[in-house]
Amino acid sequence: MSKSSSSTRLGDLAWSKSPKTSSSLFTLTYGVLVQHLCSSQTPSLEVNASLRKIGQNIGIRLIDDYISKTSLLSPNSPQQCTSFINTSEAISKVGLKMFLGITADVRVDSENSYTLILSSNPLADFVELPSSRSDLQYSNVLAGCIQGCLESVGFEVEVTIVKDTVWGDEGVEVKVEGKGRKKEELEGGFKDE
Amino acid sequence: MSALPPPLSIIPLEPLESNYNRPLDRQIPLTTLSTPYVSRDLFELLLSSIITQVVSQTSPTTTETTQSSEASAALIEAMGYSVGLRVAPLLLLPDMNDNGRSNGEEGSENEMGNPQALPAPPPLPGIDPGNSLSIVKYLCKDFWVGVFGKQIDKLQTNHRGVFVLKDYSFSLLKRIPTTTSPTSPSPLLSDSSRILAIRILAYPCGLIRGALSSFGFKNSVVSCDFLNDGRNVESTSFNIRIQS
Repeated sequence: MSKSSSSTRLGDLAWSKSPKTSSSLFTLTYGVLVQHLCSSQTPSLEVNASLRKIGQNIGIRLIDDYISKTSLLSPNSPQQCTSFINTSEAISKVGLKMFLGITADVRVDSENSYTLILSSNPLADFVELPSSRSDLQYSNVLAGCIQGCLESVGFEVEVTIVKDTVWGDEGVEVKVEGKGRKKEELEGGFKDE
Repeated sequence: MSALPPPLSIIPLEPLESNYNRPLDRQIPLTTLSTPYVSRDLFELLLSSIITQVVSQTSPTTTETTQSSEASAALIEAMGYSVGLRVAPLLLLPDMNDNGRSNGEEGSENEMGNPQALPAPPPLPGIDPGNSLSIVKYLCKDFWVGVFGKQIDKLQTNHRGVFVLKDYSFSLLKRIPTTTSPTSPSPLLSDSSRILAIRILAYPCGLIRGALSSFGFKNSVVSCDFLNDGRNVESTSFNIRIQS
């Protein structure tokens, strides 16, 4: 219990310290990106893949920001997630709050998977999908971002968007499944002589 | 060495006005945004991902021609136009551009906007819609604050439709890698940084052009320059020519 409230406090603190910009600008910019991808790469499958890749690139850079900001704000309590399930706390209460200004609920599905439940989707405010694009994973950039962040800290994961407001659902559900730790790869050349 | 692309002479692409004017199936009040703000760092990351994506699509090979770098800059500018067109009227409304108090957020961190949220604000505070100077002043103040967190540092005009907006520490350029050279006391941009900076600047040029268009000034040309004033590399000026 105390852990969760300290995460919430950390999230709020980090959010209050971060420079902000209008969310409509963000939503519109993302919308324009998706439009551009849809017009140039027609199959939805390719657009989904591009969005995921973009999300992964963002995630890799975002994790550095996250680590530096949280370690600055709470130098005494260690922020490293000791288990896979602990990452759900870090993402839902701290990460999502400090970057998107929202928090999510967590539903632990098993020892190695959890689902983040967001009540709304900041990427998709006022977005309607045309019927020809109903299989578009509009929020794939969010999935890719979470994947990129977790992979950068050593967890192999599979992230999927299960529910999304653009598909008419009430909120967004993101399923995160852990596939174990990443094997550390040493640079070539280290051999036992 | 390939020549750098000429200063952005913008090729206006079709704005998506037909979709924009289509009535939504349900009315959505503006106050039902998921969140009034997002982190600006996240926005900047999104923007640089967009630029990377556009560049990889327009120049699939590693050799960049002038044509392809112009094409990518034009595409980024068109995206900025599309966004600016829609976001400019939104940033006029105080509940989209204040410190979050109207949405019930506690402990308002007042990085931008008005210090107090007025209960029923007029939609066009102090703006005379037909007057280009008034609109440009709005761009320099509320619009720039809503997007970049600060105002334009200096505005100049010749009162005949030409405006120069100077920003001495433009936030999108803060993270560009710079080099130092023994001959110059202040940091410089390397060539690849310069190309990247031009692409990044295409977006706010489009934002400005879209914002002007949303107020009815559809024939404007917006370009930008590096100020190179020796202070820092992020000084830029945006030059607007409004044809009346």
